Amino acid sequence: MASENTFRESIAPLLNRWGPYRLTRDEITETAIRYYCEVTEDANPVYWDADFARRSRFGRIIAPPQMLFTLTRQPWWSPEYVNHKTASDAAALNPADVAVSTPSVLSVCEDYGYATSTVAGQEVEYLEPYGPGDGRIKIRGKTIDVSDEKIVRVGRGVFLTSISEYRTEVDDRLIGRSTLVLLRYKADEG
Amino acid sequence: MSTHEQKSWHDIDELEDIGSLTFPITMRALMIDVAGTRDLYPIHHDRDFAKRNGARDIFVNTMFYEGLFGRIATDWAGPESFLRKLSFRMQGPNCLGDTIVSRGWVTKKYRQDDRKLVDLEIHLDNEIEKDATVASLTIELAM
Repeated sequence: MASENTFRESIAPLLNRWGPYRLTRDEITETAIRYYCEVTEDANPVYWDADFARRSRFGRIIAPPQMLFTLTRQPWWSPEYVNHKTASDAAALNPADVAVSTPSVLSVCEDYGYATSTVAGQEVEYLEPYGPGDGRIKIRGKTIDVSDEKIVRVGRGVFLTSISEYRTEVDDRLIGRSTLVLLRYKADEG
Repeated sequence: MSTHEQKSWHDIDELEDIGSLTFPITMRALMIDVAGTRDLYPIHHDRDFAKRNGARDIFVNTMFYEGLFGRIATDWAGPESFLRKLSFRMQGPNCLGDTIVSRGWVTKKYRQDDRKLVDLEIHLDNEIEKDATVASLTIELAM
């Protein structure tokens, strides 16, 4: 079994490097916003009422800022040719040296047996309003810190801290930034 | 929300109560959660799967909490307020048949970069568990 030192050595070159952008399949739409607002019965008129929203300081219908994770989830199904189109549109956003696939931080964790993951903490900052008309959403991420191995309730694990950035396709505006602390662990046996 | 009243930053006091919201977690609510947040992970809709994995029952997902905390904040501060920051801890699930009751208050009132901000703390309780979910938010006021 590999030692902790070699794990950290394997991870070090991958830290603080932005991964390639990915793109959502779909543009931000009023319909998706309404389906999301139905979940918690959110009646805020800047999400629903075009006249009210136009007169508001936002000037238009906006998405609930906290909808960012819902908007950027993977679709349930798409035809292959649509997947190709989304992937090639995303590839065009990435310089060649970023697009080259490198071993991901999570795959290195798996190589060293930290196979199970759980979210230990998360904070999201919403930097600008966004909504229909902004196109699709671009997302990229980087891991910025890896802890030493710790004894945790469920076994032995490492804490990975990563940052994701969210931008609008139209005008490339930075609309959100999330910081995620993920515990990757080897479950205790028996 | 019929009047769309907008709260003024100047009128807010630290430690001010932001009121309470009650939300029953019915099967219908959980189905709307799956549809509206596009989350097919079975622990949120498959009761056998949830119980096999140690949960009391199926429960609402992370994106439900994001939506609920955002709603509680703008219901209180007004439609032109804007959520700037959100983090929360899921200490226990809110399951099918539970009723969520929220409590919240202003923890800080301040200006930063010309913005009028308040920090809020919001707790969600249910019949089984107090502090099932605990959130910290920063809201920018419109005026």
